[in-house]
Order: sequence, then structure tokens, then C-alpha cells
Amino acid sequence: MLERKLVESQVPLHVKSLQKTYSNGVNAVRGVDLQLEEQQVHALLGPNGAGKTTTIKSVLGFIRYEGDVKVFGQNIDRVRDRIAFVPEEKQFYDFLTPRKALKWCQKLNPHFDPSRGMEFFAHFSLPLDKKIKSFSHGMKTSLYLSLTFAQQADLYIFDEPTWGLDPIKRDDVLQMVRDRVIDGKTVLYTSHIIPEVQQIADKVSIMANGKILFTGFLDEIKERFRIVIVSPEARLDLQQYPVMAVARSRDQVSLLTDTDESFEHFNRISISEPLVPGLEEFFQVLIRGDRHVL
Amino acid sequence: MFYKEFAEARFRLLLFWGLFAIFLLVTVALRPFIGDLMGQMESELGNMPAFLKNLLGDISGISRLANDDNWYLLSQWHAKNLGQFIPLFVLVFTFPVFARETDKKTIYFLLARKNRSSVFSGKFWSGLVFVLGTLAFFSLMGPLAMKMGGYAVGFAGTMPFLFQQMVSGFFLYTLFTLFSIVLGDPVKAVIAGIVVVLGTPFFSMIPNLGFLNVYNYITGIHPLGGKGVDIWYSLGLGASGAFLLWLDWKLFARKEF
Repeated sequence: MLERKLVESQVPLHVKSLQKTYSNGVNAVRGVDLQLEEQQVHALLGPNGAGKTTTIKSVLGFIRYEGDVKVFGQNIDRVRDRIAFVPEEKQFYDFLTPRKALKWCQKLNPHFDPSRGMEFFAHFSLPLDKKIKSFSHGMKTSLYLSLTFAQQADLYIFDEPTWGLDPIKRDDVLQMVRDRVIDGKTVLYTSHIIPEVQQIADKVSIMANGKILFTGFLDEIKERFRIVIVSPEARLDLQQYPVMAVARSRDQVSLLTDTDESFEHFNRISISEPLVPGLEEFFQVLIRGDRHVL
Repeated sequence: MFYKEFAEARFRLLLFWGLFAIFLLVTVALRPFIGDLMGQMESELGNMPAFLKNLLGDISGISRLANDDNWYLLSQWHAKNLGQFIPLFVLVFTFPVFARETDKKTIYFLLARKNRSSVFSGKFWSGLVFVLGTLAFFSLMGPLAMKMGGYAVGFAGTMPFLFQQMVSGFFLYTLFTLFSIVLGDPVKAVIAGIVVVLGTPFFSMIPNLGFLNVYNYITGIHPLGGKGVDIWYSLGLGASGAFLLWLDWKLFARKEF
């Protein structure tokens, strides 16, 4: 019992059967299970409206939900000082200057390191004594990220953190996110930009229509799955030969398969060589597909 | 939290501190002029025909205004120049406290790092300290400024007004905080506040709804009539404020952001 609790307390995030229906009737999240392992970047990838932000808001207790969420084995309110969060809307108090923001963050959170904040401000070339209200969108994002990176947390949650940044700064931020893991921290990272996820994630969960369709390591996708392209006129016996997803377009049908039997069957009628999917192709077929049994 | 709340509210505070300071200066500076004017009116009223005197009713206030510095302080400062602006001050100060954070999404920064009870208490109590501190300061500055102007006034008459100003400030703060939390939009919150400030005196004209006119209490009709603190209204308003505080917390604790 004690051992189980100890193990649970080391799991940065455990989400079980999470559901969220907003007051307007929208089922934003429909039974999400998610578990983060220590010292990994776990990316939550999905198109707009997939339910990524709602999942994060539920985890952080910003909205009410059904299901079970445990952060380091506990209710989020008991471990908030171990969490750092960058929301989709990176709005900070614009009447402050960056220098005053550091002072205030230090008062707010005992685990905030102002000297690290200064380093990040210097890295992003942010003026220390200029009011934040005069900052561009990119500068505000850089400021928010600096204040978050300067916080000594065990779990970092980033919701579309690079939106509005130029390519150079975006790469820097991705490296900074990666550095959290090198320092022994855990990261939950949401994005709809596949190259970003490919660049930093250890594990990925693909989400669409409020459900997680796939969770696994990036390498696993290449090892486990194949995409077989068949003609739109081909007769598909999906009962006998189940596949993971079927994506139809005007001139072809893409079948995502991982069982030898189904793969062998459909490969015989394929109109091109089977594809070893990268994250991009895997994501495309999965999201466009009308059958999800992963 | 206190520092941030102060930094965020300082423009609104400075605005009202400036306004109240000007009102106070004007109140003290006009004392000789008002005294002379009331003195002249008093003598002219004495020469009026009886039927006109009956039409005007009780004119003893004019006489007191001419001769009694304490009465001048209570009626012109506490009941008028400070008192009647209290609802407006509390509204302008309170409406953005929660609504602006929700509207601008800065609330995420706080809620991610602190639990809701810490966020609520930090914001609520800081704001209440600023509101009541401002009211107490300017309430006590009334007699002090009059004394500095060379008038023989005491603090004793101010105390019942101060008490009622504190109770009404607390009540209004909890009420406007409710709008700020529930509506989550500064514009809607201020409109709701204006509707209440203007609407309750209107509805108080309906028989048996006179208690809705909080202005009578804020401006100190009871102590001005020499009856001291209005105990029952104070208890009612204090209890309503306590209930609203509880409701504010419950709504904030359950609110989705």
C-alpha cells in the first residue's frame, strides 16, 4: 500500500476517464486517459478544437470536470508550487515592467529564481524598465516564457507556447523546453504544429474530437505502423481485416494498419509501396480517418 | 499579492484620493462664505410672511449651518461631499478587481500557481483594505482639516458617520465584487453596479421598500438627526455584507476560467 502510494506520488500526472461538457452542451473532452512519465516531454498533439486546452484546464483545476486527475499522486491544489504553466493566452500584467514582474513573482512563489529570470530576459533581449503594455506579441510571449522558465517546478505545462514567435526564438524556446527534461523535470506540451512535436517530444498523444486516439513513443510509430494506399474502388473487408484508420480522398484510400494479417491482405491490393509513416503522415491519416481503434 | 493589487489599483486610488482631497479643501475653504450666506438667509427668512415660512418648513438647519462648525462638517462633508460619492468610489474601485483579470486572462497566472482560496483572499482583502482605508482616512481628515482651518470642531460627531461609512463600504464592496466575479467583464460589472446605485433609490420610493435606499444610511441621516448610529440598519447591512462575502467566495471557488 505504502509502496503503491510512493509510486503514485512519483507519477507527475495521471488522468483517468476525464470528461468535460460545457454549459452550451459541447462535449469538449470525452473520456481521456493520460499518464506522464518522469523526465519526458509528453506532447498532446491535435487539431484546433481537439480538446487539448480543455484537458489542460481540467488538469489545472480551472474548470470543473468528471473523472480523476492526480498530480504527483495528489489533488492539484496540494502541489501547485511544483507546477509551472504557460497558457495559450500569454497575458501578463501590462502595468508592470519586466524588472518589477521579477520582484512580484519572487514574492508570489518561493521557488521563483529572479536571477534565472534575468538571464532569460537578456536572452530574449527584453528591456527591463519598459512597461509590458508597450511590448509586441512576441515580446509578451518571451516574457511569459522567461517568468515560467525561471520558476523551479517539477512539472511544466505548455499550451501552444511558441505561437507568435519568430523561427529563431521558436527554436530557442524548444531547446529551453527540452532543457527542462535534461534537468530532471517533466513537460506536458500541447501543439498543433507537428515539426515542433517531432523536435522535442519523447512521447506523443494524438487527440481529436475530445478523445485520445493514440499514445506512444515517436519511434514506435515507425516500428509498429504502415500506411497502405489502395484504390477508391477497392472492396475493403474491414470486418475480417481490421485497420486502425481509413482516410478517404478522391483518388485514393489510405489505410493505417499494424497487424501483420491486415497489412499482408491490403498490401496485395495496394496501388503503391506501403509507407513507413513519420509523425506527419501518421497524424494526417489518423485525424482524417473515419475509424479509430488504436 | 498586496503589492500587485496596489500597483494595479493605484490609478483609481489616486483619482479618488485627488478628488476627495479637492472636495475637502473646497469644503473647508467655503466655510466662511457659507456661514455668511446662511446668516444673510436666516435674517431674510425672519422677515418673511408667515405663510411663506410655513411653505419652507423647518429652517433650523440654515441657522445651524451659519453658526455651528460641527454641524457644517457633518452635513457638508460627511453627508454630502464625501458621503454621496462613496457608492461611486467603491464601484469604480471594485469592478475591475476580478473582472479585469478574467477578461484579460491574467487570472491564469495566479490560478496556476496558487489555490483558489489564496487568490480570492489575496485579492478580496487587499481591495477591502484599500476601500475602507481610503474611507477612514478621508472621514477622519474632515475634522482634522477643519481644525487646521481654525474651526472649533471635535472628532466625536464624526465617529458615528465613520462607523456607518465603514459598514456601507464593506457592504458595497462585497456587492460589487459579486458582479466582478459573476460577470467576468469589466464593462458589464460597472453597468450592473450603476444600475444598482441608481436603481435602489428609485425602488425605495415604493411603500415598504424604503430600506433599499442605502444612501440614507451612507450619508448619515440618523446621526445627522442626533440619533447616533443606526444600529438596526448597520446590523442588516453588515449581515448582508457577510452573506455576500460568503457568496463571493462560493461563486469564485466554482467559477470556470
